[in-house]
Amino acid sequence: MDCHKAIELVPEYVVDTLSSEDRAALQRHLDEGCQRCRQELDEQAEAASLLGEALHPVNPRAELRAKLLEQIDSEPQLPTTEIAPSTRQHESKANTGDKPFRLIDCFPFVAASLLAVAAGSLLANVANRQSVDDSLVQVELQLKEQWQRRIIAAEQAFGPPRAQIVGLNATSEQQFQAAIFYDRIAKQLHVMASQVPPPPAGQHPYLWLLDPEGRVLTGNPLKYIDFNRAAAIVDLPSLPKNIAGALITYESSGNPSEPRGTVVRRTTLKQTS
Amino acid sequence: MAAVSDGDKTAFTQLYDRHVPMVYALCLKIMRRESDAEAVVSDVFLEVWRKPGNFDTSRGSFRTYLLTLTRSRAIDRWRAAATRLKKTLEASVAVESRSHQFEEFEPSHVVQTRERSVAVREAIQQLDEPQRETLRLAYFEGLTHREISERLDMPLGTVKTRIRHGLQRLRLSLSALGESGGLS
Ligand SMILES: [Zn+2]
Repeated sequence: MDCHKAIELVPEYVVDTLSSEDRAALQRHLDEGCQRCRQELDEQAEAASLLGEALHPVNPRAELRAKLLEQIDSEPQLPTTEIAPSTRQHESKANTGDKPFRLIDCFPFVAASLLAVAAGSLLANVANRQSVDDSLVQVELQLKEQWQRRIIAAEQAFGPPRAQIVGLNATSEQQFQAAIFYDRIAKQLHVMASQVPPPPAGQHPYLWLLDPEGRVLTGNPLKYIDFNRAAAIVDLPSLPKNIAGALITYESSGNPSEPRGTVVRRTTLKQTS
Repeated sequence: MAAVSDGDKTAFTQLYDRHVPMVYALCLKIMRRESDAEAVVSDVFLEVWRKPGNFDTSRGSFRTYLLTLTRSRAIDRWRAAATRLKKTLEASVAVESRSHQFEEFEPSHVVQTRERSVAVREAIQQLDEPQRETLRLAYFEGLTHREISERLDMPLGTVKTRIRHGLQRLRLSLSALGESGGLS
């Protein structure tokens, strides 16, 4: 689908009146990384959301708030950010040899982790309504950013015994580092890979997780978060037990079901524990 | 399992308090029944708590993200309920009258109106009636363009045009609101 056709479908995409075929076709176009259409979509979505915002606000029963907070209380504990000694060991070992790829199946770093950073300033300002508003704005703005930093930090932060670390032998000579975490609450796999150079024009980086026979378990587009680091959030109902390798390819068509493009990075994921 | 830290929860609570009247209003509009609306509010805020990475600051304001998420979860539930109801009716089982669900909801607590809300309502008022009706059926009732064209007895092309022009007009109002990923 070209941009002209895509932009034509955007209004109906945001109010959700498209047929499933048109919807899927537009989604593929967006997944290919077209920034222009993505921006068009974001702006139209913002316009559409005015329809909801124009409603008179209504407070729900206080019981709902209490119930929700209770539910959040019962969610699994967040990992702390202290660096476990064993992780440090792992770090130093890693730095002497191949750049490791790690698979860390840990308890999730949910919203709270992200909110926590801003929460301090928020609490300090709680007496002043305006400051609270400002702080909330900060919380909202920082959510995503903090999460991305968290991924980077997490490689150091999550260590045994809570985390299950899987060491990987990188078969590539190229320097390549990645952190992979499975968030059990969100049911999402978070991947952050460094040393992934930008692809040629018209191509997009894809991450593939492979089973021991080299069959594709998942394939997802990677999004650059800066010059040579790319990240992906993959919805997965559970962490596949048989992940054995990972590939990064540059693909020129959207939503490929298997790697077809240039292989940029390749590594085995070998469980050591 | 130990509880999450107090600081985290406080921040989340503040987000909830700030945005829940808007979220709940939209849920009520779509779901119509308080209990159903509350269920969607819970879904939405739990999702915000569990999947913070889904909110991308580069793609707009938190308010827009929240409203989009709310609308989508509410419509999903509404459609699922409609499917269940249809199946029940097909099975010729007596069901609770739906009329209750379609009663206009009388808000129990209308919270203070902010300046922005007034401006937003004015923006909606500036749509012409056919545009507003078409957008309403799509946004709040989750009808497909085909269903809308049947409901309003007009060609598909007209439905598409109205949606496109209606959104275009709302978009112009956005700039008048000084909206550029604003958060207040
Ligand atoms: Zn495009």
